[in-house]
Amino acid sequence: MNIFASITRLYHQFASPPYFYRISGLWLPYIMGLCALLFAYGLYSGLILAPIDYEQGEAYRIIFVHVPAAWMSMFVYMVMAATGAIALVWRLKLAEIVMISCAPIGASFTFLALATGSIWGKPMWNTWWVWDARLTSELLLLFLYLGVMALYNAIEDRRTAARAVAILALVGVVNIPIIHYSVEWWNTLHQGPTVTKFDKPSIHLSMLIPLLVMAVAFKLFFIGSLFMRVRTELLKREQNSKWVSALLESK
Amino acid sequence: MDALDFGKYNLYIWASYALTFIVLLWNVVIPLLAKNKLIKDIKRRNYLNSNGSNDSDNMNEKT
Amino acid sequence: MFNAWVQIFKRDLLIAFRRRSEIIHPIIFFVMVISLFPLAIGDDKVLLQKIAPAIIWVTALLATMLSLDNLFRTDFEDGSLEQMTMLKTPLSLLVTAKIAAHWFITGLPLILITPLLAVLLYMPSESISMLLLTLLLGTPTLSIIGAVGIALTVGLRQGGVILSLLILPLYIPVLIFATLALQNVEQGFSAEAQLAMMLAILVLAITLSPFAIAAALKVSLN
Repeated sequence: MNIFASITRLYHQFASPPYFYRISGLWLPYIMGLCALLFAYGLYSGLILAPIDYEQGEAYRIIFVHVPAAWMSMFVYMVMAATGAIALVWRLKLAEIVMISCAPIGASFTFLALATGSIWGKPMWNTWWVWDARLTSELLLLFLYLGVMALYNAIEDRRTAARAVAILALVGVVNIPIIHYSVEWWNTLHQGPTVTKFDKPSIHLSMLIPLLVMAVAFKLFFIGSLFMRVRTELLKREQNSKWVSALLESK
Repeated sequence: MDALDFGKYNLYIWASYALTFIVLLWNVVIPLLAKNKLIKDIKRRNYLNSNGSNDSDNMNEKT
Repeated sequence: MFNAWVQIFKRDLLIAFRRRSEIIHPIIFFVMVISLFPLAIGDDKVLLQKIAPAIIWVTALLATMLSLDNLFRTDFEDGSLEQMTMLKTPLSLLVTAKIAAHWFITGLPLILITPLLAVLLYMPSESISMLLLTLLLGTPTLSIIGAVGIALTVGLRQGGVILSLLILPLYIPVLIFATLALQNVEQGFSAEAQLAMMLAILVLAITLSPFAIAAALKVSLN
């Protein structure tokens, strides 16, 4: 009985806007600070420390931004879909806000993955683009993000909009496994899995470390940027409430 | 800075990293600007509400 | 329960037959747009033969999208949709009736007129039979996925524009597999894998979409 009471209390606490605002405000500087440090180390070890690749020479270094961006594009979509499911089932306002705040961040990561991939493709395979399974499904992901944002902006009532968008996001989830497994299922120009397969990753440690560091840095950045957007949206929706007025008095 | 010279791939590598930097910067600047604008708007509206209102029920009004 | 399904299916067919334009317009659109290509390209038999499957499939996509508005709009506006949510039969089941009727009105005529258009585009007969098979597997999927989109946007003012943005990304896999199947047949290979994928997508759509569509309709209704 006691543990259920405390779980329910925690749940209500987390979902309460002033609590989330306060806690995210406390964490934000540390998140961004750590993120900056990891970026610095990742850039240093990726651009300077890591050796030249046998096949690709220096050009492979784009991997340290391209792959994390691509990983994040899918991760953010899953977060968006998951919070969308939470919003649909429990009608939590905070979940709705988190869900829609994910969309522009996810779209920028997807764009970045596509753009850096294209820039990498030109010197390596002499093409800016190819319509293979992975690139096509990643492009599709960008369209899904844009569709989510368009639908949300088209519906006037914010809560109805959130519910509609949650349904759309969940429908589009099928694209994520397609992106991930596309290089295994089809013959693609894009290279096959090297990190996320189950046996030993076939990438050298001196290249793997910067990659993972950058991946964590990107994740922290996502959380930080997400917090920033969610906090602003919370202020906007609760602007007539006491806690916001009290907060603004002290500014 | 020889370590940062990537030969013929210079343009591509720096273009990718610059693009990354711009995208990340955008994702920090836009929320920051939005928040500042929102706070300004809320403060302005609160100011207008408490000074411009002729409502006799308004507790802020000085008689 | 199934009585309601049959009733709604018959009702939609009846309404459509009374308003023939609902059926005719997408077909005319289909025929005219496909005819535009030989006119624009010139009578280049080799080129037309090569891109014929793509032309027919893309136009089928667009024609289906145009016809989706009829699926829920009139019922939405006159209140019948709200009535349907209050029936004992679950809404997710009833929407399948509407979609089935929609396919009969839109997808089926499209398939029936395709052989004529394929001949106009100089397609060889083996390709034509594969084309019809892909359309048979694909157009129901298009109707179902389209229903998700139109359920989300039926209450919106600018719904049509957003509809295309939402649905076309979801249509792309169907398009890709259909045209891959046709390319394989052209080169003499078997198209079994692609057809199997199209069937899988159809089955996935039939089983999962009705819940999404019902949820989306309830969101649009309030």
